[in-house]
Amino acid sequence: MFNPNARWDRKLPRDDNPDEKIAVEASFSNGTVVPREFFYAGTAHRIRKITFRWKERVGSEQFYYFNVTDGVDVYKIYFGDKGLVWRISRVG
Amino acid sequence: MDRTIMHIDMDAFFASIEQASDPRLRGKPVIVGGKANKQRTVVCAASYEAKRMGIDSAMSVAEAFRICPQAEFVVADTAKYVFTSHAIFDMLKPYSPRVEQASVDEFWLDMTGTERFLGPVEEVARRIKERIRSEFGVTASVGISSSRLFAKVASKLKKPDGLVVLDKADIAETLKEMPVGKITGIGKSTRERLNGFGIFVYSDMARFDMDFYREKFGKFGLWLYGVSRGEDGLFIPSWQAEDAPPKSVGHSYTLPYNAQNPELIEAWLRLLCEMVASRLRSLGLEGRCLHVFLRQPDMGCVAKQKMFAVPTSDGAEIFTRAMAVIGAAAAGGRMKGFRMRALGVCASALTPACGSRLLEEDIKRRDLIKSVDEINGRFGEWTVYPARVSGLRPT
Repeated sequence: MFNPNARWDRKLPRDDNPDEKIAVEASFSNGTVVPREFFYAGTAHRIRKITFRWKERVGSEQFYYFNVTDGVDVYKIYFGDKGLVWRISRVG
Repeated sequence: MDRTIMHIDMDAFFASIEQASDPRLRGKPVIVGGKANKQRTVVCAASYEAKRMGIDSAMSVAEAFRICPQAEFVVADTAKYVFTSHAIFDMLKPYSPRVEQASVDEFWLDMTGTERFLGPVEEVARRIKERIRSEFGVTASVGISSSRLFAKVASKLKKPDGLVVLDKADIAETLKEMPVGKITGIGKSTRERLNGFGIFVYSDMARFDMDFYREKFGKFGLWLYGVSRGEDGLFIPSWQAEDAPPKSVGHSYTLPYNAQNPELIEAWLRLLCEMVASRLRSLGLEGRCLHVFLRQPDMGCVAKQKMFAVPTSDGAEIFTRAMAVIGAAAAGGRMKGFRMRALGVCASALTPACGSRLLEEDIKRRDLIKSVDEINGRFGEWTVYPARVSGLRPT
């Protein structure tokens, strides 16, 4: 049976992660996290839509990823359940 | 009783996910590549807009941009695709007692006997397609037929976003013009041999009887004969129960370039051995038999296997054995001027792992591997890895 778990090409989020830390306003409800607004480059960005969400376990830490749009640009933001730090890794 | 098999084939899966993730990419030619460096990677996936312009998987990205300079390039995000694939697999489970993931973007469902509970299979397929579209923002093509083979063939007849029911009685008419090389299971060399007998399209296959196929192709000929009559019964692999222990554990990898450097070939081999070993340990198994293959760009292949006296799940030991297996091929002169495009390692003759060791050296080795597994389990796989493979790691 196909086993997609063993992946060598993955870049791991780590302590020396170059992705910028950001502040995020989010709601946690019934096991689901919904980011509402984030602060990046001195500006508050109200999230209009979460275009895609996914998660990935790295060792004992679970990372939650979101592609979000403020109606102008698309951003990829994420956080891990151990560090509880939100980061922004791509600005489209 | 005839079976009812559904094959779900995601349409341009990676590219479609990127288009769903970023609304600005929708309707545009999108290329998903393996690395940030556009000039040194190959196309992992292309959106249908890009495909229409002549871009396809495995083409170099540089070539793709020559064809379509305005294409949007996106670096592949494997975690996103694997998560989505798992989520779709979970979504499909309530529709059949037998659901199997064939690859990251293909799924099988045995729908035999489900009509009583779920309604007509074609209607179920429509509901599944709609759920995939609404929950994941991507499309899938679905084929329904009496066997896995013809369900898969059917799913490819109306891509993208197609739904084809291929009744057994209609197979001959529907596929009559299909080139034999397009049929799953018929590779390049079989196609060339069939062509040599004047068999170019599916309808040509029916002109020959079972004796012809058996004489020319041996046991495989029986399957070809079945295919020519719209049957796949002789070649159906059994449905694997999710909790059944595996009979083999293997990994393979296709390089985006041809490798001639022996150190590089060894590094890839070491990596795959470690991946196999890691999975064996996670399953609590050890393997005695090792199968290794190295494939050249022209698809010529060196493949050898050997049975060893003692089972193992130690990556270094598996690598030593793999080198011994490959060494036997090299001694025969088959590796002269070898250019590697793909390689694979597979352990079989699996037995439950034996934790006890007698020799001090073996005990130390066992404890070292256990420690490495614990570190990787806590901080992520490949936090600790063999130095030999460090050059292969993405930066």
